[in-house]
Amino acid sequence: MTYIIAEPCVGVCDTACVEVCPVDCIHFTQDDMGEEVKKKIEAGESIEGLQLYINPEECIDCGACEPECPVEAIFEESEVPEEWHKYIAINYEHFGLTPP
Amino acid sequence: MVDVLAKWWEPLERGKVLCTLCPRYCRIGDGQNGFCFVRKNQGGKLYQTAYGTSTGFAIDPIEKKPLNHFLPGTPVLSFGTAGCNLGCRFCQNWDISKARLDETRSLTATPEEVVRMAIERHCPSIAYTYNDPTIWAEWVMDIATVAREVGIKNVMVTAGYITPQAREEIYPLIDAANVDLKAFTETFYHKLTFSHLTDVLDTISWLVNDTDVWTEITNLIIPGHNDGMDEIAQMVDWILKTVGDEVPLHFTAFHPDFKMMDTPPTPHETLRKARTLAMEKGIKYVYVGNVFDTEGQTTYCPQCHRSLIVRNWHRIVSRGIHDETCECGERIPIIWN
Repeated sequence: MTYIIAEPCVGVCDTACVEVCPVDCIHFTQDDMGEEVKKKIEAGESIEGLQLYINPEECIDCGACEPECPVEAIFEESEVPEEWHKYIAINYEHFGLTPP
Repeated sequence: MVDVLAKWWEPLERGKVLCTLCPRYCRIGDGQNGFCFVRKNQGGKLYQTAYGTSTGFAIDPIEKKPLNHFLPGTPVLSFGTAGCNLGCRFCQNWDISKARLDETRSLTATPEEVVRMAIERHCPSIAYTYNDPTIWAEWVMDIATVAREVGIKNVMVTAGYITPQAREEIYPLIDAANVDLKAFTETFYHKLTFSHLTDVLDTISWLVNDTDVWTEITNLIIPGHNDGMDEIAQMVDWILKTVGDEVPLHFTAFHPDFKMMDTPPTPHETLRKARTLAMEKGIKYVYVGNVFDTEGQTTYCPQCHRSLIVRNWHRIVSRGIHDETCECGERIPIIWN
């Protein structure tokens, strides 16, 4: 089981979740943890179409990020709303993993 | 100190482990820590990395825990470790609770050394406190076992976020507990503490009804978040219905801290109103804390209203009771030794 970041995050990338994650498993690219997004926001650049991702291999399922998200984009894998189910695969595939 | 093998976990697939100590049930991969920072998977086994490592020892009045009906007026050897299994945005101790172990200046001690410290400082009890001792319960249990042998009592100051399986092993060694009941809504627990109300209520009920642990409850009142008198009334009703009218209740003042710097300190008047409400509903021993308020810190006989123990902040000013009975004959639940 893992937590999944779904559509409300796209174009928002608040990164509050990044700060509370105890295992630093929330990333923008595979190597950084939202730093690139933060820099873009600070530089006034567009983050349209960008989102944060949770690495399902690294997530410990602790649930800390979920209440922290200001746009309620984070769900436990089994509780992702029907209309955003594709984000399960999107999160897994972002890290080169095969979705369940 | 060397890391010790943790209690309360199960192996999962691909070298992961499931920590079963608290209801968070972290699934921790090899090399990772759990949410609490101090329970670490190394090679497919879960280790306790805070064992023997304290952020510092202090001698506090027992009233500071707060416990007003347990060994009144005595000093208690108090300490904690780094880490916590909750994520309270208003944490009043966040410099240790949110520290990763290597960020704190730590002191190490064996269980025997801790107990010797209590004896040398004439402390009849040891408090596991500051962060949540649930997460370093392996060390708590070893110290408590040694302390018991020499007649020193053991105190847990906790948020009560623990699984039934773990608490049943830990609390037979514990004599008194102060449990935080941080609010009475699931929204508050979920959004502001990253934990859940029902698990905490279950622990409080279990401690009072199914164990011999002397239990008191603390509610930190935070302006705008849990200070509604309707919510406090619901909490009081639950306490009366579930654990009765003799469990002491402490309403304490919040100071702006951690991620809640923009919230003002709790007005004294709010604490007074909460205390009056709880006493009118029938809780016999209700106190206020983190403010100067002699009336709100005094133990009164619920029958004849005589002042039994008068306190100023954490200091006992005068005492009109020396056993478990008021002069009027009313039995007062106080553990004296």
